[in-house]
Amino acid sequence: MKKALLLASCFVLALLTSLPSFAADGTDDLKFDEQKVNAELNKLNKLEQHVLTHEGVTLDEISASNSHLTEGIALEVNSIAAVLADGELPANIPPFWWGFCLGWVGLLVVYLITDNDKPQVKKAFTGCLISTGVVVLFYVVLYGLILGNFGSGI
Amino acid sequence: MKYLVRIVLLMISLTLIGINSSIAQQFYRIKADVSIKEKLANGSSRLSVGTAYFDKLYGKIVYKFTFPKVETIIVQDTTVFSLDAKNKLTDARKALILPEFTIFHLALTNRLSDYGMKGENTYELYKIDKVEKKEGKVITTWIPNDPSLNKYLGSLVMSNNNKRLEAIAIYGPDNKLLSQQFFRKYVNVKGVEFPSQVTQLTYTIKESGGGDNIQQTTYSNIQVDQASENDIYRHPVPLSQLPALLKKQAAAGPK
Repeated sequence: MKKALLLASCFVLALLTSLPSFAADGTDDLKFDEQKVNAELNKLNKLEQHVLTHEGVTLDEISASNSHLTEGIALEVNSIAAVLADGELPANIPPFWWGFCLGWVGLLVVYLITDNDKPQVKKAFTGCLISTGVVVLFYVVLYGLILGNFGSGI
Repeated sequence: MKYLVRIVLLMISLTLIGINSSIAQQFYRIKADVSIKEKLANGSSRLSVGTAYFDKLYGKIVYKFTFPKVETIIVQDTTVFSLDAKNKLTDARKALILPEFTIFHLALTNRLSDYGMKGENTYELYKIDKVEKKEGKVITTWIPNDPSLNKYLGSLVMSNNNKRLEAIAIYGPDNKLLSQQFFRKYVNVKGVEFPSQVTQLTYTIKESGGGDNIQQTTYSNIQVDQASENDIYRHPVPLSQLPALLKKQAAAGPK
């Protein structure tokens, strides 16, 4: 009986230590401060409400007839910049990733797109080098295993 | 022999049913009314209101804005094109935006829950470092897969609630918080889970005079696999006007 209990305890202990950690350790950086964001965007929210309830209205029309909605807002007319900001990948990965995943092709793309922006090209080049290193290492290990098995089989 | 033939036919049938099921669940197109509000670090603001169209097969995003002015913006390949109300090309900028990592593509392919981090790429940049549970949410920390990348990439921390991505916090290699994204007010349209509000906060280096940017995008009237408006989803870019525009931009100098 005692032996069975001991074995069961060892089993449970092994199981628990193999599970991923579930410590209750969160981060405040993942909490959304809705009040703060609403306060920052308060004037824009009012302008937005007007635009949404008046379909097709443009900035010129609002400036002419409802200028109070744009008072206190230094409004930029640049939707292309808004789209660019909306489409960015997290962590500014793109230049590195282009080089890492597409090799010299990705490096060339970054070089052309960024007009030889040295920091961006350097990131892509680094990605390209690291991915090449990973591939070379993979094949070295693979052939090592194949040749090792072949040698032991003779 | 007859028994064997029946088994083989059954296996083929089951395989075909499985293939058909998986194809039936592949969504390919999404449309949504969008409103993008921004407050920038330099004190200025932007508001853009219109409709976004994305078709996975064409690989382009088309924005038909009505505010601040009537304008069409097309994100295609590695360029963002701007067309005025008469479809005349007014701007073209290079951009490293990958359609596979836009919220539209990730939602259509049911990969928004990990923001595409568990991608099919042979070499993955990030790996899971730890998974924690707090207040009913799953907190996942991603770190660079190769230690040599630590000089360039920091960690990513994600929060999921009931398999829905709620927040991402992105850190630089020096562990400083670079940006946060919050995905809220999810709606389910034909089986596609989509956050109708996405808020992004980006922090620039304060020592060099930078500040914080806030961008909040609201999506509404979401439609999945719409059969009509094909001409908008595949909106052509008047590339014949590009040489003249590029010449004009070169003469004007860099922005």
